[in-house]
Amino acid sequence: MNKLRKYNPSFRGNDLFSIMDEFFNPGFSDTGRSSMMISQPKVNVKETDNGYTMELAVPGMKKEDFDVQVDNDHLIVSANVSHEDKEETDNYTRREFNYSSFERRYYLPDSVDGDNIVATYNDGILSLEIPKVEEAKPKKKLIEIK
Amino acid sequence: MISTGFRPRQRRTYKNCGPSVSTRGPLFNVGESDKAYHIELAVPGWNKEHISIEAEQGHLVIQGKSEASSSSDITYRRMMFGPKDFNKSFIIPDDVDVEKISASFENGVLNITLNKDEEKIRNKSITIS
Repeated sequence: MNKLRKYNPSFRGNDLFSIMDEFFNPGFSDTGRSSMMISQPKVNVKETDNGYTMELAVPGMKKEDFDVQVDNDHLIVSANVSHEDKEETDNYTRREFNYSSFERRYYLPDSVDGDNIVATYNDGILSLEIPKVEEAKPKKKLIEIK
Repeated sequence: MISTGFRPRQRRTYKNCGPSVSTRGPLFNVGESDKAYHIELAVPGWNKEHISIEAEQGHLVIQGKSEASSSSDITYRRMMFGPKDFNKSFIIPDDVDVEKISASFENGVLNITLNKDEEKIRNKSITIS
């Protein structure tokens, strides 16, 4: 729960207005654009000898919806979809997730090769393979037994 | 509210706790149209073989059992989500035709459609005599 709040700036669970809103309009604040909706994807970061893999959990998208850019030493991942047709046909009574618009920026350390990042989208997970630069790969030296 | 049916079963008192998302299991959206209810369950990284859906005694039970494989050469630097087993259940509203519940799986979202019973919808309309 703590983690969830930390990574979601739109979660205003503790601010006075959302508490009042919940108090005076119980039931209404869980229709659509409420403070309880998650719109920033959760992220896993894995490290191997050759690089890092960032996994963003963004279910319900198409790969065309994403924009991944490297700007100097920042990696910018964003999505922008107008699901207008869907909004009209579906009358949400409770909405906990909607990833159709977000932007995340990550600082890329010197140890990675920003020019060779590969992105894939599968089963709702956007994976970014970020290779390490040669110098940053662990050096293993086999010592010969004489 | 009109549709009081769709709450996570174990969390019926969530409104008393202030605004919150469901703290256990996948996030979900619920939509309603004239003919059906729609549930969207966010299950990124899952495949449909590991998810089961059952309608039983007025409850819709969705379960995910992963066969977690851990490879030792990977170090997680940050882990905010993972293939954690889940069990989510919903109360099926009375006007749903249980025989006509359907589900599809696409891009990490499990879509469940619960069609309303046409007979019951018709009975609701009151004719003015």
